[in-house]
Amino acid sequence: MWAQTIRKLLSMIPILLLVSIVLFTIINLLPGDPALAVAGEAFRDEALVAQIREDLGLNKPLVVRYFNWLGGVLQGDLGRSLKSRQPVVEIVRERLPVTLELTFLSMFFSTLIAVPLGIYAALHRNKAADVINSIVSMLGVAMPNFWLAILLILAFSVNLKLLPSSGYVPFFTDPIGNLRFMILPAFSIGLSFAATITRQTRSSMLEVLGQDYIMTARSKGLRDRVTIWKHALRNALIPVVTVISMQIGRLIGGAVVTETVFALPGIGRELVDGISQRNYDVVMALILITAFFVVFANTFVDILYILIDPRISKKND
Amino acid sequence: MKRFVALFLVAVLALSTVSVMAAEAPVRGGTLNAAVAAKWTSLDPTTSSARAGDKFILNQLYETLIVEDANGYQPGLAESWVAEDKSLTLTLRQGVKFHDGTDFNAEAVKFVLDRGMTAEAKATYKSEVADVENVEVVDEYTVRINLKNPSAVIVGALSNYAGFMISPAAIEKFGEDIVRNPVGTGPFMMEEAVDGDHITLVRNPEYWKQAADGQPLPYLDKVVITVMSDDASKLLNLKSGAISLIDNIQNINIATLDTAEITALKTSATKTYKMMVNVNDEGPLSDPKVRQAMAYALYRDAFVQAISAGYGYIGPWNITPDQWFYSEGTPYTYDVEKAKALLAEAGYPDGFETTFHVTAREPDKTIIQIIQGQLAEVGIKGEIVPLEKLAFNDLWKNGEGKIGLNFCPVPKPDPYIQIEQFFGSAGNNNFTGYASEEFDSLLEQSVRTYDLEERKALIAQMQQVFLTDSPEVMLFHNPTYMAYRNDLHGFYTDLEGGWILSEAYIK
Repeated sequence: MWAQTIRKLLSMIPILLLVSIVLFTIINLLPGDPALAVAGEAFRDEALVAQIREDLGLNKPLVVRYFNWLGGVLQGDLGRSLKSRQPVVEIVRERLPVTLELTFLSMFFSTLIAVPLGIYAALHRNKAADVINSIVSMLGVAMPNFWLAILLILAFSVNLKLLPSSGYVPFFTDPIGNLRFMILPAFSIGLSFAATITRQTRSSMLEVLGQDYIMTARSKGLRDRVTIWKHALRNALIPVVTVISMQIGRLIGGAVVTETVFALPGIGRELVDGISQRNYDVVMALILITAFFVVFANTFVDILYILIDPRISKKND
Repeated sequence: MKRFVALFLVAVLALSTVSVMAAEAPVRGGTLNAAVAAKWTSLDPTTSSARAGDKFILNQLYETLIVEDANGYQPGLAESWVAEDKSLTLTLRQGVKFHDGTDFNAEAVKFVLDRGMTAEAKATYKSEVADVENVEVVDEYTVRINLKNPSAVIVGALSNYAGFMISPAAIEKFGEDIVRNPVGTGPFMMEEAVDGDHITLVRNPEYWKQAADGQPLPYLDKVVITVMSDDASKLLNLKSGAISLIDNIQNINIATLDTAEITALKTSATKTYKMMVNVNDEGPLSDPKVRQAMAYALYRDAFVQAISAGYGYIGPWNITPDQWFYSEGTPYTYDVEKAKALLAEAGYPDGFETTFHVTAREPDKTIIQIIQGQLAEVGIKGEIVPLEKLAFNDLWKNGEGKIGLNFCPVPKPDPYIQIEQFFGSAGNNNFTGYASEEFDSLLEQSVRTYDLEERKALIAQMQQVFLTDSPEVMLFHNPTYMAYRNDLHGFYTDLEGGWILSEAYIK
């Protein structure tokens, strides 16, 4: 079991390495010269652009630049932002907590709401609660979270004046203030996330409830509550956990748009800006970090299965 | 009785005057929350590559030697100056300090100007100071700039980015990191900033300008400028009160403002939208007759109505009517018959196929669709290819563009700057490849004389040459509107739309 776990953890390394190679290649194949981006309005000044290109080391061959970059990363140097010359490590340190908090909050609250709702809907199949749940979750999946974000600001900030429309304060500086700023953004990402989770929970629950061993438990005279909590739920939740971990990537993707609308200083916004300015170091670092979290989440769940599902660890021992 | 009534009325009048005056008097303190659309490219004016946008922030941190307003050039950090044929001598203001406590003096001016002219500084305003031979320190508060040739643009340049004064001590201390550590003489100092997200500015207690009450300006304690790239949420933030000042409001949204709470302000900043044509293209586009035909084929009123909701207007060139060097006169009216005749003369009676290149943003995409529709009427047909900004710039820089859309952000501090960068053959923002000896020669002459009347006449000539060659077809002027909450007073913009907050207060 532990051997499997360690193997899983180590497998993250080649995955991330492969991601970095593909990433580096793609970014450098994008049309548009970062030296032009740095030169901005003066982009037609050939001498200036050539100077910038030389200073940024863009004239070296791709492979050399990749290994230079990799070497830097292994020593903890993620490079510098193209224009501002700010060390990328600093940018990550400033901005990653914001996105992590946003992602975590949306995941936490939506799971908190979605799972019980999904269970309830499964238990009261085809009744009013189930139908409403279906409609709301379909809306949640269909609605672009960008649009939802703007609607939320309109409703809660402009009209009701209940919540702030933008801004951020770190959690440890002012917890209440922080949460007030984060509610609307977390909700706009969380809704479509919750929709997916609740649908998965419901169908998973229904499938498990239809199993023979549930019928057996019921015919043995076990109370429904025990049946549901002890037997059905644990088995039903396994696919749900899978779905949650698969959605992490989408959550971070949603953060990109949400951070733009709510002007949050997270990595999502920085990533979008970085791509349009060909800010190589920043983009490489941020996408790699995102990839790390996605891979880590999936690996974590895999390990979780190994630990909690006896069938999996038995099979591979 | 009468006397009593008279005294009573006088008392009421006096009291009401007092309360009116109290209402008028600026209030000290408070924080202004503002929002801009684009992240700043640099906090060091020398390397700013988006000069109109960066000015919102740089105007608060730094000041220029000379200031330009609607009435002309005014004293800034230089109290007065004397322009001679090949030199400009500036008398500097005394008693001004940089934010780090060091003195502003002639040595500082020389240091900053010299630095801006070196290759290492990568100054984006290099062409504006290209005629400077050297900078001399005459005495502690007098600087002489010696020119290789008479250059009228130097005054304008010093009222813009080339004239922003940075602390030499800070430049030496921070080196490359000066782009994130601004030290100027302006009314505000940087407290902290998260690059690309927001910047917090605090009051400069040693600011040299006095308020009416005898204390130094500014009135505000703090200014927080946040980057909000999404237009809709920026406006919503203004409406919710989280933000009190925004850098731009789209024309169509102006009517949605509740004027009891928010005011929309027309600034002198304008975008002149234009259709660019690659004059070196192998096909029909290199024929001036074809380009003239296109200029006749466009119905410009459509843009004014559709894009600027009536707030825009049509003009002959990229000069706005309130600029001193504006002149009337363009042959182009909406004349489809003339357009077709010209095309036939050029050998394309049935029109031709081409491509429309546009930056993937609004209103560019809408404008190019209108153009596509209108040109189809004379047989000029083509696909629209939207490109991301860098890719668009790249395409035109490599001479691969065909017909494209862009705009000139105007006004600029000097006509030479406003014209040369777009239409001069060596211009920074010359996308079309237009290179006319006649035009360049007139352009050169227009900067060699300090006589305003002479310059204006030369510019009028250039306008005619340009319109005849028609490398770019002017579409319409779209003035920039900004919006702010009504509790903000004393707020002004400079000619380019940059914010002036030294006298602003919240009440």
